[in-house]
Amino acid sequence: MASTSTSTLSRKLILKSSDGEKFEVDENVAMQSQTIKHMIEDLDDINSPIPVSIVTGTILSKVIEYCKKHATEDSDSDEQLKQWDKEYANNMDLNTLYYLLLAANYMEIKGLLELITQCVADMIKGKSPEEIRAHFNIKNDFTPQEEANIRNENPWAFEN
Amino acid sequence: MKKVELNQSFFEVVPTSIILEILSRLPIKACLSCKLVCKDWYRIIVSFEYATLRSSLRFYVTILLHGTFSKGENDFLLLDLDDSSKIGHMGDLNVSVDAMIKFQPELIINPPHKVRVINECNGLICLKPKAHRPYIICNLLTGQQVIVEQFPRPPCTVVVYGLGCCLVSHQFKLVRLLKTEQSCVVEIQTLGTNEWRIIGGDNAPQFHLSESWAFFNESLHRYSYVDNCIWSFHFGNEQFSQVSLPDDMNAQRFGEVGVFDSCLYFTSASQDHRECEIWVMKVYGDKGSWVKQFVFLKEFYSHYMPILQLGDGKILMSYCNVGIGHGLRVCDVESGRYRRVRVLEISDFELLLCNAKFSKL
Repeated sequence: MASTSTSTLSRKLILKSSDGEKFEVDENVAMQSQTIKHMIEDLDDINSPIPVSIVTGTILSKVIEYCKKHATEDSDSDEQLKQWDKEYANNMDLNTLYYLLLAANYMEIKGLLELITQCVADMIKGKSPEEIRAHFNIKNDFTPQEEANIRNENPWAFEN
Repeated sequence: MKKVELNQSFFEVVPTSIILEILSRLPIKACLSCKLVCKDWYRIIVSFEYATLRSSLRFYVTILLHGTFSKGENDFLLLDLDDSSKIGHMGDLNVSVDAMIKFQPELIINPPHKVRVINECNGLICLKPKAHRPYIICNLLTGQQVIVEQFPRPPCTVVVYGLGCCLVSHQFKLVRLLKTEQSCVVEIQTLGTNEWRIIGGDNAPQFHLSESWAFFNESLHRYSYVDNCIWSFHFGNEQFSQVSLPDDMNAQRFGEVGVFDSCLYFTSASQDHRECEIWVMKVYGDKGSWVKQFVFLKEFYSHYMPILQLGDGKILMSYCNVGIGHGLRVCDVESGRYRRVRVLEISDFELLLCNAKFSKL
């Protein structure tokens, strides 16, 4: 089946998620993850599945979607790629973003990590402390006195 | 992956390093809101680590303006700019409310309009009140202020002051050059010690008062006309060293050093003084990496220093004219022409500093 003429094409790797799902991807797609890159270097048998132990299949498929988009050097301009990134991130709910963030961190995919941290930062922007707490479900652990003291450090910051 | 009941809180389970990364991407106004969210966030925002990371990542260029922006006379306006910032045809700078803070700080020494900014380092500003002897180091955003007494040493006169910090010890230090008729002495004070230590004599670099400092790579940088080079003072080892300029650079009466796009730059004038040239050192410390990046037309006795390249390719610049003071200009690289910039429909303001950041004293 596989002839020698295809040897110049990218090799295939198999990634295995924490819940046992397997994904066949081109090597250049998977290599965007520094973690996988290092794993391959130590691998004897390229055909055995590479365990991505803390990432579930659902999340891994989303990670691969991102890596595929960024691995192909086709006609997409920087502008189009930015737009794609934006839509990709905007379609995620907070739960998914969280798991993607951990996956990108663990798999060391710089671009994806930057995309998601920026997306979360954009959610914080323009919100009051109360709104930030509500959005991310963060518990206010200040006493009223402590809160008043911090407000007094720069009272004008909360006026305009 | 560890199963987490995420409906609790997104951030309770995210590693601190990632929270740090997320919060570093915020404009200052949002940072201030984040201080009030919870104790963890407060600790991060006021930490030295956060200030250092935020200033090294440079998602924003923060500028501080002083003028009459509302009914009050002494408004300070802090703007976080990035490459999405736009300047309209009439020179109006559009800044979203999320990236703008208007405030009137209460300084130890009033009135605040009689102060001059010496320089800025990791969020602290060194101010010199015009009529008073001591210097004020302050963080306009947390309201913290410290007075540094001069303890003059006649017959020496103080030539230059500068604020910097050591990234290892996290100590802020003030350095000063004293001059007698024969020699020059360098002294340093670690904030909080109230004591000047002599660290060098005789062969200290010579500067003019008109030049300004740029804090970059843990060092203050300043151009010396006498030596025709940039001197850097490192706040870790407390020593001066030279940063070479390109070989074909003539000595400049009004050379200025600054930081643009995470690189050190130097401004010089063309031979006929009609043009201002901006040279950027692409690799820090590598003499061969100087590149002449921009050239602008200019008036005599005026300086232009780049602040930020906007999305449309134009450059936002600080402008200084001995008679008029400091302001903002936007320059078109293609034509080499520039236009005065208005903020909140006001063009008559003083640009106090660029690249402002903040951290706790």
